[in-house]
Amino acid sequence: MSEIDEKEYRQVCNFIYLECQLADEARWEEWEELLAADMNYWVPINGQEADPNWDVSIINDNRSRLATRIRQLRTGTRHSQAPISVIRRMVSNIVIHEDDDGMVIAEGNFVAHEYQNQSTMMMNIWPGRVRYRLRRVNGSYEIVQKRVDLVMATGKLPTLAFII
Amino acid sequence: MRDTTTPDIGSLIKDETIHSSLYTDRDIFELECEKIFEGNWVYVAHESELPRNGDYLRRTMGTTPILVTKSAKGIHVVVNRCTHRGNLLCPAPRGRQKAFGCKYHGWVFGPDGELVDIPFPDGSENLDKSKLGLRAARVESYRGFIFASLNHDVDDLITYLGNARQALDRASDLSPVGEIQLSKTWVQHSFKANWKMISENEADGYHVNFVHDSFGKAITPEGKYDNVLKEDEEGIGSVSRYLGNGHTEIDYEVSYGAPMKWLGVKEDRYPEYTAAMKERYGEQEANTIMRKGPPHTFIFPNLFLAETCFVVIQPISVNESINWHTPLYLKGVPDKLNQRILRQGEPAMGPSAFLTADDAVIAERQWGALDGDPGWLDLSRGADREVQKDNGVLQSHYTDETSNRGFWNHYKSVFQ
Amino acid sequence: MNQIDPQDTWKHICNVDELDDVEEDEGLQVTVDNGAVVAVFRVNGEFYVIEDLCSHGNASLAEGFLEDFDVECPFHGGKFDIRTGEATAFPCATAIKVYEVKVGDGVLFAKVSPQAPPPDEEAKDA
Repeated sequence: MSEIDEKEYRQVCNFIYLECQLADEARWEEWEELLAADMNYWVPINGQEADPNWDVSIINDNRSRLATRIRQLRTGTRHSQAPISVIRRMVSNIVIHEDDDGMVIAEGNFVAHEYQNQSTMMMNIWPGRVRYRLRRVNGSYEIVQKRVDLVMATGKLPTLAFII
Repeated sequence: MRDTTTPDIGSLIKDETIHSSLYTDRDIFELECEKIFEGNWVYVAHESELPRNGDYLRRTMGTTPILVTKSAKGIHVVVNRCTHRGNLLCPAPRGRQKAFGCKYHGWVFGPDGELVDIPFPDGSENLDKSKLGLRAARVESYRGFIFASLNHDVDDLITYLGNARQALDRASDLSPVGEIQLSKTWVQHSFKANWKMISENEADGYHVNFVHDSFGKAITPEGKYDNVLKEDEEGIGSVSRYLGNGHTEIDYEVSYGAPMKWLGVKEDRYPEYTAAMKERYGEQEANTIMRKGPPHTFIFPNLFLAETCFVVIQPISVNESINWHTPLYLKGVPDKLNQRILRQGEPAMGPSAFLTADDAVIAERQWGALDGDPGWLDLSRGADREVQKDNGVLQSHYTDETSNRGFWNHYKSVFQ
Repeated sequence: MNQIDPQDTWKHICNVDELDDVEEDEGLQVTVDNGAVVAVFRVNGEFYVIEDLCSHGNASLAEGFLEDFDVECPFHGGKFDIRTGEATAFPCATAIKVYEVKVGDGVLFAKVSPQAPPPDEEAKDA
């Protein structure tokens, strides 16, 4: 594990903020462009104890399944995102380092406020911790893994059809 | 005994129509808690979740908090509420202990609900401990599926299951040791809708084209949804059934042309498994089991065997319910087979699922609209083309409302 | 702190193989011929014999679960170290008796003092 310099810290944060904005605004095509071909998108239930091959997850998409998810959203007839939720999320407490394989690991806390305007017309609050595994590519990054540990993961969850 | 006015449920259910207040009336919800969830068999746990002496699970029957415990004497289901001043006796979702001490005043209950100890006993000499045990349910299990009834005066479980018993067999027989296995992790998907809307959805083939339109467009239609999503009414081979006693199912068997197609793999993908199945059942029977795949069956009032997912419906209030799900794993199969069951089920159920996320939103809209504008709802589709099968099973076209009519007919009988 | 009465003689507790039917983290309750009731545990092949009655309430420690060398009382979750009898977790505070053991010819013996008269219940409250 090694440190990264101030300049790269800023670059990675900017990348993360962009990713959050694209997800918030349902700009799925652009969001997809940030993903590596071997991307894993994981929203587990039982945190650090979770075994992804035994414990069921809320989301555990390989790149192919994630592509299906995006295609489904883009049809415009996925009722749970038609109309799309209005979302804004904040990410902070970001710590970044480089792991022994040369990947950039960025972790932080987040909270997303979602106006669920498909049915309940209620505000849903989604706090948690996010962890990105990023590969440096072409002066920027691609997301190899996005892992989201929701505060309420082990409790009852409303529909979560957007990109958390 | 809950304090409710008594709605006339019978007048709200006719042969082919029902009144929407069945979904939105709070008094009816209270009555359901009493007559359905405390009145007859309710699924509570599977034996694979309680392997050792002392294991326990915190669950609910309707809105009644319960503990499912295991002692040297067997499995017990007791109300999870101290008989002293009403504290929730055991808050942990699961664990292992041989007695349950209330954290309020230290009263201690055994796993069968017996009050075994009161601290400072001199001051409680006037209390008859034998009358202060936890309310205990009658418990029976079949193939490891544990059901409980707080009303002890009910038919035995086998009679209650009736034509749905084959679904428990169908799931368990997919294991070469004849048992399913549940892990400790569950997803909880909350709906702001009435629990019966979800139950009816389980055997509703009619909605698939419309609610799951986006799913069809995103994937290459194959397997069980093939003809459904192509809107080929005549070409749909899968059928819907009313099994009696409120139980319903959809059978996708016809769409699975070869063994293991239900899991989306070729039949020789897991040779150890195939060999073990043939040894247990003989070649022909093994092939039949492996081709038919797991059940897609709703067992009244709260269990839904959704092929690769094991689903339990929990009513919270008249307009809130939780769909719990966990993978329907099989004992005695290679890890890779269970992993595939996990992978296949993950996108089908849950808050982010390709399927049920959209079912949830539709149910929520439905509840809101009915609450705002009550009225009579039509369930007549297919009444003229039902087919009576053996043992009183009613079979229908995949898109027909036979299963809904059957569900409501049984529901009506509960309140008569 | 050991609370062994050196005047006692060796008492027959049970056959060693009776522990084979008991799970690793569970105990065996035995009533000794002098009226004492003890709980027997086996950890890594070594035997431990302790007073069965919890010092905090009317519970059998043989009914508790063992983790390492701590047995948890099934009633309120307090713990005792089976090697020393010392109370190691709330709400238990008063130590329980532990007894010296020996094994001979497949039989477990312990130096168990006779059953004392029922203690004053008030004095046992934590």
